[in-house]
Amino acid sequence: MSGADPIIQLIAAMLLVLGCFFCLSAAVGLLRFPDVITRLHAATKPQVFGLVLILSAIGLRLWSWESTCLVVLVAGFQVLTAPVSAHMVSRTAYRLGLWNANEAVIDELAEDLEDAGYTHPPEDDEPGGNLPAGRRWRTAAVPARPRRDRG
Amino acid sequence: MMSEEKRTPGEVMHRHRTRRRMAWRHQGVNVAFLTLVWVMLNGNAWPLTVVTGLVLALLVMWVFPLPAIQWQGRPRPLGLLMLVGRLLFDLAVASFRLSVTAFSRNPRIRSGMVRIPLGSQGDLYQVGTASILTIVPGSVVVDARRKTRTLYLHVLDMEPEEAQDVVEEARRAEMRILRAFASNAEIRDAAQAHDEEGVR
Amino acid sequence: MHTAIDVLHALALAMLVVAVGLATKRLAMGPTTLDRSVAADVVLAIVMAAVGLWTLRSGQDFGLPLLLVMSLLGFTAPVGMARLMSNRSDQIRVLHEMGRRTEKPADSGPDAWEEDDERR
Repeated sequence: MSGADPIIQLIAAMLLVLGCFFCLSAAVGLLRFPDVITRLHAATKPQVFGLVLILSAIGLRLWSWESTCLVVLVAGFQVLTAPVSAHMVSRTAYRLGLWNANEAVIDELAEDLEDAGYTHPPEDDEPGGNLPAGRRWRTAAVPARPRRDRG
Repeated sequence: MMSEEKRTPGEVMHRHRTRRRMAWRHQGVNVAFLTLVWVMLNGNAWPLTVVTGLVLALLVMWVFPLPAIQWQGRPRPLGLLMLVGRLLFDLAVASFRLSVTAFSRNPRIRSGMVRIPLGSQGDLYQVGTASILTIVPGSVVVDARRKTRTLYLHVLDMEPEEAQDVVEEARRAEMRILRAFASNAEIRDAAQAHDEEGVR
Repeated sequence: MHTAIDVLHALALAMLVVAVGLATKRLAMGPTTLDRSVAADVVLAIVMAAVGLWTLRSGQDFGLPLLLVMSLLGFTAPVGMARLMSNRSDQIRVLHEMGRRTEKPADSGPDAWEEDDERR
């Protein structure tokens, strides 16, 4: 029983196909979902699971202690670092108002931010383009645009 | 800081010694973990590898010192196993559901932001809960407050009535993290805090 | 048996190619820069899957250190873009310019919220 056995290779190939299916569904969701944060959901989560499946296929195929250790390490690093980028992108998207706030079901973060004194700056005159309608968050202590508010 | 609290010299020494003990314990855990990562990278456990790993770990910790976290718990093997297993299971199920949504004819997605007050006190538990809540498809931690120990979760598909269910799920995830890393007292306190929240 | 394995590999490759096409479409389309950084992350993940496919076909363990480095460094791009886009830097700059408040900030208010993060 080694990695080059046809049975093992077949199981590894099936795991690979499943993993690539999840990568494909990540890309499809990236294209079809309505705003940044939902696209982030679709793009970074199934991809982690797909990678875990592909890594287990590699572990089966290579069938040695060194490669198994490396596979476990890669999976661990992926699980540790994917939430960081997902969180940072979604936090920035929320603070800049780049999500579908109008279609949101409930928004308790907005309540808490307003309680804490955050406000929305006066509407900037940037061309909105086809951005979904959300609103930026700023602290009340910060003037919205220094050059506009002074004088 | 609190001027009305008169500390006896004995108390000061005890606090100082405890903090130093905790700091050394954390350094030990860090060095052991980094050596383990090095050994796994090399793929063998020869003495040379272990010694090189120790040297590199100490060097890294000397060059990049990090503030010690206040961790009163201990690693529990059974809890860790349950955590990892349940994490993989959740990952699989939620990824399937997400791909069904992605491929469906008309993805009607109604998302929401839910506030989740955590029951535990400790940076490690808050970050751990945020990590596993983010990695599982369907929720992303958008913001977190350290003082009030709350997380704000963006949930992909929910109805307004399901907000309490989301909070329950997140609290169960927090209990899993606690059972993997916390001491008995912390688990008890967190369970108590959850019950109080539920009753209110 | 070997033809079945080859068919499965070809199917996986086809799915990866389609996925790259879709992700590139979002990379071009995405109205905001964050969309583009997420799409770039997806493209990197698909490249990692392709390296995995190559490892499976060739049987060499050459691709594993490659996967390791890509997984470690691949998350820095969206993080960097997010920091670039967020306007916290000018909030902090203006706060510094206006001078920090002389008394301790109250337990509530935006200062306290941000202070949780800036403590370290």
